[in-house]
Amino acid sequence: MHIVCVYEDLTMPDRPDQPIDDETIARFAKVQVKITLADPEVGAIKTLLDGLLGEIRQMSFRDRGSAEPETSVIVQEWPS
Amino acid sequence: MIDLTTMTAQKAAAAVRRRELTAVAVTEASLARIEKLNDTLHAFITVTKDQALAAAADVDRKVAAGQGGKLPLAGVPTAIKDSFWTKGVRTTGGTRVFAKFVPDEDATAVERLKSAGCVIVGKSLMHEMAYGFTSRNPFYGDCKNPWDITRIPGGSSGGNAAALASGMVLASIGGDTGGSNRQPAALCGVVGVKVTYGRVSRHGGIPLSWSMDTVGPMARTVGDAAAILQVIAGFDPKDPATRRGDVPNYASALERGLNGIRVGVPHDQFLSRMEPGVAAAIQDALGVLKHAGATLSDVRFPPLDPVVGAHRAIIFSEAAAAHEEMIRTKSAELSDEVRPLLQAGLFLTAAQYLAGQQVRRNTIEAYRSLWRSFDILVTPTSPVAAPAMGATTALLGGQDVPLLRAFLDLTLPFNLTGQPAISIPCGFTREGLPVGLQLVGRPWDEATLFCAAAAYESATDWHKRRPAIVMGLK
Repeated sequence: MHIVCVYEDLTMPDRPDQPIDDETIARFAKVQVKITLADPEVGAIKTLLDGLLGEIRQMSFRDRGSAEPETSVIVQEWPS
Repeated sequence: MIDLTTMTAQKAAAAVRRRELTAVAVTEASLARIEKLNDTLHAFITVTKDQALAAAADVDRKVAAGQGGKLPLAGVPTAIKDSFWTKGVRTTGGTRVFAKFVPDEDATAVERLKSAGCVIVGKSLMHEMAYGFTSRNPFYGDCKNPWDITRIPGGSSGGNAAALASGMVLASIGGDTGGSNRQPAALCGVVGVKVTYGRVSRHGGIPLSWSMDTVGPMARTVGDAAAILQVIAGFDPKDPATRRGDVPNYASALERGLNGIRVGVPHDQFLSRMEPGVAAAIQDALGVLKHAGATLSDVRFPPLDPVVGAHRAIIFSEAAAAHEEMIRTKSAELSDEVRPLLQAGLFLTAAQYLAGQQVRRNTIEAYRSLWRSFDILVTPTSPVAAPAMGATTALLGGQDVPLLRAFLDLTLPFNLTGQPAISIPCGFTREGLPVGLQLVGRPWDEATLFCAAAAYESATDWHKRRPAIVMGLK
C-alpha cells in the first residue's frame, strides 16, 4: 500500500494567530473550568492571560528537552 | 524606655538572660512603638498585646528559674507574617476570606520561635494571599515604607520589613516564593532570607506554591537572621519536604571571613539594568567584597525568559489548585487584584504546568554546573529602589518595565531552583532609599551565605542607619 502524505505542503504554526477574546474566556470558564464569570472578571482574566500565556510560551521545547518534571516532595524512608 | 532601634535580637536576648533587662520591659517598648507608629505605617494586621505581655512574663519566670540557657531568643519581640498559624490568634492571610479564621495550633516555625523565648507581638501585614509585591492591602490597610511613607515597603512580607526598619520588632518570619522576604528587605534596608527549599517546615503556612514556598527569617542584622534560622530550621514530620539531619551551626559561620570565597557576578543577565542609584551602591558593594578578601569573577547565566515562564506556570497552577475551593465559592470576597490571579490558574493546562517543572529541572542542572566555578552569586536584590504607591512600571535601561518583571526577575530564579539567598542592606540612593544586595548560595549552604553577608556587614554601617520617622522617638 502506498501511503501519501496529504499535508506536506501545510505549515503548522507554533502558536495561535488570534489573541484570546472575551467570548472565548467566558465560554472556556463555563464549559471547561466550570465557573461563572461576571463581565469585569472576564476582562481581568483576559488582560492577565494575554501577558501570562506569552511568558509561559517563552519555555521552548529546547528548554524542556526530555527532562522528567521536578517533583516537590522528597520520599522519606518509612519506619519499620 | 528601651530604644529598640539601637538593639539587636541577640543583644536583647542576652540582656534578658543575664537579667539586665526583663522580657516584659522589652515587650512593653515594642508595644509602645507599635502604638506610636502602626497607624501611620500599617505594619500589623493584629497586635497581640495581652498575649505578648503574658508570654514575656513567662520568659522572665523561666529565666529566674535558671532556664535561660534554653531560650536563645529570650524576650525578643517578634512579628509573624499573617500567613502563618498562631494558636488562638486570627490568621488572615491578608484576605477578607480568612478574616475570622483562628487556628487551634501554631505553625511549626512559630512553635519553635516560642520555645526559644520569642515574644510574638503581632501578625504582620502582607499582600493578600502573598500574591503580590506591594503590601498594599484593600482590607487591612496599605503598609508604608518607613524611609518614605509615600512609597511601598515591597511585598509580600512588607509588614515585617516595615516593623523591623522602624524598630517595632527585633525579629520576624515570612514566606518567600518569588522574592517575598528579600525584596521588601531590600526596599526597607533590613535583612531577608530565602532558605533552601526544605530547610524550614512550611506546616501551618497558607500555601501559595507547594514546589517553591519557603519560610525564612527577616531581621535587622545578619547575626540575628542566623540566630532565628538556627531556631526554626530542621526536619518536621508534618512537612514532607523538610530534610532530615542536623542543622549546621550558623553562628560559627559568621566569623569565617571572605578569604577564599569565590564570588560570581552575572553582569549580563542580572546586572544589565538598574536605576543609577542602585547601580552605584551595587558597584561599591562589589568593591567591599573584593577588599574583604573575596575573589570576583564574571559569570554568564542562561537566559531568564524561560525561567520566568516556568515560575509563572508553576505558581499560577499550584496557587489555583491550593485554593480552588475558595476560587469557586468565595471569589467575591477576594480583591479585584488577586481574584483574577487565582482564577487564571484554572485556565492553564496540565501540560503547561509540567513544562514548567521540566524547565525547572533543567534550570537546576544548568545552575548546578555553573556553580562549580564560584561559591556565591551576587546580584542586586531589586534593580529599583522603593517606588511610589501606585507605580506600575520602572524606567530601566531607557524602557518602561512592568514592576512585576523588575522586582521578581532577580529573585524568582532561586525559588525555582530551591537555592538559599539573602538580601542585605548595601547603601542608599540619592533620595535616601535603601538598596539591597542579594547573595545566592548552593543548596543547604546557608552557612556560606551568612559568612559572606556578615563579612560585608562588618565592613559597612548601612544596617545601622535608621529612618527619620523613628528619630527622636522614645
